[in-house]
Amino acid sequence: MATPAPAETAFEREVLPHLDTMYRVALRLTGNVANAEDLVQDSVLKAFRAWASFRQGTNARGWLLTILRNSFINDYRRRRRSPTLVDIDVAEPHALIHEGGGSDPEGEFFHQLVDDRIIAALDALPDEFREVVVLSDVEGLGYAQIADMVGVPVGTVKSRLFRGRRQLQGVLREYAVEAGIVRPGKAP
Amino acid sequence: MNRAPMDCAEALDLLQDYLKEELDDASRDRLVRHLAACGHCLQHEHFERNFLAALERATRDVRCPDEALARIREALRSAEPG
Repeated sequence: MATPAPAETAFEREVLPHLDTMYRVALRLTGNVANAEDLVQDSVLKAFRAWASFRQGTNARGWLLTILRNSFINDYRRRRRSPTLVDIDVAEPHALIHEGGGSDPEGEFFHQLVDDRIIAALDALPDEFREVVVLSDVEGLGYAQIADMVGVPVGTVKSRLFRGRRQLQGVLREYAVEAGIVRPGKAP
Repeated sequence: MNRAPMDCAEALDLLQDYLKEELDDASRDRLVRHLAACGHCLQHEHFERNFLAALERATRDVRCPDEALARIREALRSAEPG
């Protein structure tokens, strides 16, 4: 006779709906499935042990992603070889001219790139840019929440997002040129 | 409140905040008016929107594998709460 499944606990009801988000962020932070699964499990267990400190009614997703990010930095980051930037937060005015799309200034070429290409380009970003791009543009978090989570001012989040997107767009545009989807050239 | 027409430099500088819906109402209205009148900046907006849509399409459709969920549930059963 099968053992009936245990009733879902309050913790599980609050936390498990955010598992896909945690996994997606973990996958982009660690760069591989095995480490992502371990990171999510470690983070859920840490959250379980810290459950008493979670204030009911507050943002569970933000709380969980903060735990996950801290776990990544403390336990996983050194396992990942990642390009480092010398001047990650060097002050620069938001550049007005971006590379553009060459013969495709509206960026229609982005839609012709296969998912794997986009993911590879994202994974090749420096950690500091990639985490902000993922939290903002994949998971839809706002500046303030990302700033809280990463522990930097909102202005730094904006700047990292801007530079991360530019770098990503530049790489994807090169792919598109190589693939003959767009002709090279400055635009618009 | 600033209602002055916006130039391209300011428009492109605020485009990121606009697309993230983090712009105050007055700036958003001024930017929308600029985009309606400026094909150059509108191209930039389309470029960014196409980029964001492709990025979302490539990354959002990922779910935590069932086996991982099962392992997590199992680990929770044997874990002691803090």
